[in-house]
Order: sequence, then C-alpha cells, then structure tokens
Amino acid sequence: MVYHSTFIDEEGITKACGCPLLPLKSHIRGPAPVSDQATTDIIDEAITFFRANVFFKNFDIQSPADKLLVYLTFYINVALKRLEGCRTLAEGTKAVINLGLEDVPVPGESGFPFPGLFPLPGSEEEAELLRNYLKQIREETSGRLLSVAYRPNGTPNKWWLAFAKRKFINTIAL
Amino acid sequence: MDPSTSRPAVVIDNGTGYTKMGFAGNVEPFFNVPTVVALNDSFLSQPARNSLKGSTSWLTQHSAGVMADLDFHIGEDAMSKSRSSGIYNLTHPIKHGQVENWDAMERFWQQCIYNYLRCDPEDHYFLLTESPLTAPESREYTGEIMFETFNVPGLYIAVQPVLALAAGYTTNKCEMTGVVVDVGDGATHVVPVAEGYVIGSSIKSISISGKDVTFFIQQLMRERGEHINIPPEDSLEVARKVKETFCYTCADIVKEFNKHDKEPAKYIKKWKGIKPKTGAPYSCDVGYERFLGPEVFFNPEIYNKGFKTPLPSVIDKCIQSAPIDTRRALYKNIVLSGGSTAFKDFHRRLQREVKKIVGARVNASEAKFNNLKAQPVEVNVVSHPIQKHAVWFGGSVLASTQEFFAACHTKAEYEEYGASICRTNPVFKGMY
Repeated sequence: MVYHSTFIDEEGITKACGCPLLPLKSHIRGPAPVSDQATTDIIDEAITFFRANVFFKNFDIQSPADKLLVYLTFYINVALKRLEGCRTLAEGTKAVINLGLEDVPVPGESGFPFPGLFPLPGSEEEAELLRNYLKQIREETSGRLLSVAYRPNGTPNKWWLAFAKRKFINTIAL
Repeated sequence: MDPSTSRPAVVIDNGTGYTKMGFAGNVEPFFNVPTVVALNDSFLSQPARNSLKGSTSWLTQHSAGVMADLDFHIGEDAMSKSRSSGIYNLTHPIKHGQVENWDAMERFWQQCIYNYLRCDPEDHYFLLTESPLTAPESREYTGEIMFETFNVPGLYIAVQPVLALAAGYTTNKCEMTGVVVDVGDGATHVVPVAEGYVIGSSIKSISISGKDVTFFIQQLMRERGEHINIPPEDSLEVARKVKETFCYTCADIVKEFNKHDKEPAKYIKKWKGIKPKTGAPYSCDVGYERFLGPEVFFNPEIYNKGFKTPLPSVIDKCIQSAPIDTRRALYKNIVLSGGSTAFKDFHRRLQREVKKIVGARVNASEAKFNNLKAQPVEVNVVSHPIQKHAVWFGGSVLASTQEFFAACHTKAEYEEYGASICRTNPVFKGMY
C-alpha cells in the first residue's frame, strides 16, 4: 500500500483549485505560509515516502494533501531523470535550476501531469496563486532533493539516482 | 514375502525449481538438484546439411547415435556443462508446477534413479509428488513412465500440500487440518486441507513465485547500475544467489529505507563472485533489494506484473471460501512450505497481516450488531526449520508407515487395468 500524507487537518489552510496551500519551511518567496523549522512539512514527507511510493501504479487519495503528495512525488521523479547524466553536484544544481525556469502548468493547461486530479481553477487569480505556489514548492523540493541525491563530497548517490528509471503511477483512484 | 516392501521407499519431490530426492525414513533428502536437463541434440541434425562432407558425416552420425541417448546431464552438472560447451541445450521440464516436456522428464528421472540415488527401481516402492491443480492425464503419464520404463513395484502420487501438513507431525500435535501456503519457484498455491482431505474448490493460486522475486531483484540491481560488474549471462544466477543469501522481510518499507540510510555499513552487503570466462573476481553492492524482494508477496503492485492481491488477502479469501465449520481450525494452522517462505521473519509478517484483515472483519461485524461480542479468532502461522523441504519430509514420513504400501498403485493393478488407475488419488476421495 502507498503511504499517505499526515496533513489531513484542513483548518486555516487556504485552497486553490482544491489544492491545500500547506505551510513550508522555505526561504524562497511565495504564497506559502511559513512553517515551523522543527516540524516536518509536506516536502519532507514527499521525499521520505518517495522511494516506497514510486513503485506503485495505483494511488488511492484519502485527503486533499494526498493530491499534493502525488504531484510532488511525480516532480521528484522528473527531477531525478534530469539529474541522471550529471556527475557532480554543480552540474546537478544547474540541471535543476533549468527545470525550475521552465513553465509551470496548472490544472486545465495541457502540460499538467494529472488531468482530473485537481478541479479546474475558478478564476485567473486562483490559477496564478496555484502557479506561484507550485513554483515555490518545486524550487524548495529540488533544493532538498540535491542534498539527498548527492553525497557530501559532490558525487552522485546511486541509491537515489536508481529511482530515476522508475515510472510513478499509471492511474489514480480518487 | 515381497522384498520391496522391506526396503525403504524412494521419495522424489519434483518441483519447478528444485527436485528433492532420497529414501524414506530420513529427515533430509539426499540430493537437492535444480530441475533442469541438458540435452545433446547435435546428432539430430539432418544428413542433407552435411552432404558436402560425404561419408565422414555418416560415421559421426552412426557413432553419435549409439551413445546419444545417454549423453545428457541433470542438475548442477547440466548447468555447468551447458556453460562450458555449446552443444548442450538446457530445458526445464517442469513449468509452473506442471510437467511440460515428458521426454526430458523421463530422462531426468533416469539420471535421478541410476546416477544419483543408485538404486534398482524394481526393488523399491516410489513416492512422487504433484501440484494440487494437476490434470489426471499427467498422473496417468507419470504412472506409465514409472511402470513401463522403470518397472517399479508400486507407485504413490501424493499431493504436495498434504505432505507439507504431515511434516508438522514432528511437533507435539499432529494436525491434519490447516491451510498450506506453498510458495515455490514456479507457482504459489494456497490449499486448505480439512482432516487430511483437500478442499479442492477453495484452492487459490497466485502468479507471484520465487522466480518473480529473482527477476525483480535483477531489475533493481540493473537500475542501480550494478550490472556493469556482473557478466550478463550470469546476472539471473547472481540475482538468485543474492536472494537466497541476503533477503529478509521487513515490517515497514519506509522505516527500512531510513534504517539503511542511517547505518549503511550494517545493511549494505557486498556480493563477491568470479567471472567464469576470465576468472577475475568482481563484487557488487546489495542494498534495498534485500527487503524489497520479499515485499513482492505483500505488495505485488511493486513488481508490475498486473497482479494486485497481496498474499495475506489471498489466504483470507481462501479460508473464507472454505466450509464455515472448518474456518477457525484453518486460521489456527497456516503452514508454510517451499523455499520462498524461508525469508527471515516471513511468517511473522504474514501472521501480522492476516490478523489485521481478520480483526478488521470481526470489528466490522461487531459494530453492526452492537450487543454481540464475537470470540476472538486465533491466527497462527506455523514455520519450522524444515520448511524448505517440508514436502519431501512429509513424503518420507508417509512412506515409512505400514499403510503406505497398501495405498500404492501396484504393478499388478497396472498390468490388469492399465495406466488409468493412477488417475485417482485417495486424497481427493473425501470429496465424493
């Protein structure tokens, strides 16, 4: 069975397109609320569960936070694919920055990986809000991923990069 | 007096991956060889192709023809011969628990009896085993081969799960009711047995078996790039040996990943091998596949074969489809057999998962009828040190009893009635 998110409590969390804008321990500017530095946030969860969840082809969604978890797991998979050819931490950082500069699609646009996961945005502002949130969370995830995927001396960690070859999910059960 | 009843019977357990053979009355089989035959088919090539060579080809054909029948090997010999010289073709006569190639099977038995066990088949009764879902024709062919080719005085074809239950006789209770979970190399069967009779309609088989775990481990090692060290023709063999040496069952995958991260020196092992062609040593790391391999039984999705039901649910469904008065007894005695159940802590994880499923159902029914409290259902997964050849051991125990000789199909019956006597199996008689 897949591992689900523990952020099921939705009090006080604003939502955009049905996606909860959960707090992040981030230094990057963006619409996410700031979280306590000592607690685990949704990105930590995604990275911890990634190596287990990436094997599964079906994911049953139990809460809106799970939708964000699915998106992040997919993003980590994409990022690892970009890191496959990079032999050093410097190259990896460059690859990941390039990934961050690409367009971030929102639900309803053609590039969004899971059509049907989130409902369509109600207004332009909602779409922009979600886009900025996704941009922020992607940048933060890439940063933390680099610290795990590369060893302290800068060489790639084969135990993480092996998962670049795995394909996450064919279907999602809502 | 018939001398063959005074001699111990020969017990041969033919499985998809390994064959265990020996004499009754022993605790362990004498030989545990892979079920593989290496045949030399080069003499079968047509003369038309060698017409340019003329008379010399006729001579080689003739001399090959005389000895050709005996030019084959089985087991480990077969595998090493096929690797060193190119004239041998490897065949696996048994696939998914069923004999597919009777010619090869006959030769396999020939080598077993004459070369390994070195006994005269006319002097011993034979006990062979079969998978629970075999067709009666298969039993007929077996009987024909045994009685015609080897001239055995008596034959008993036993069903593997019942023998596995009989293996439990060594402990202080002898339970003939239980669910046998037989996870072999080619097939996995969950067979409920009540009072020694198989409940045929409740037999469930799943397509995940030891071979799939080996493939999965090979896949994982390839993804990580370990395969650049391993010679490609050996990679499946290496995966198999890694599985047998290093794998264990974990309680929770994510926690296990974290344990590996925290103490890599304790969890990451090295596999050392020698390249067969050059003799150079090589080594590769073994890490996550140690616990992801056996995890395939509990989360089949990760292996991506299209099969999704985990083993504990299959066991539960099987017991629920059995007659209602046998269910408590079946839950109490879930017996494991087969090499692929020998992973460390496999029985503990299985017991925990089945208990969870049963507990959830009991709670749900208690919630519906809130004044009725059900008696707790005891779930017990039994494992003992002879799991790997529990079937062979059960056969040895059975063949040492006096009643065994009476239950066999004898040569006299075969000559009177023909091969169809082998179709019936006393174990299934309880159903009618």
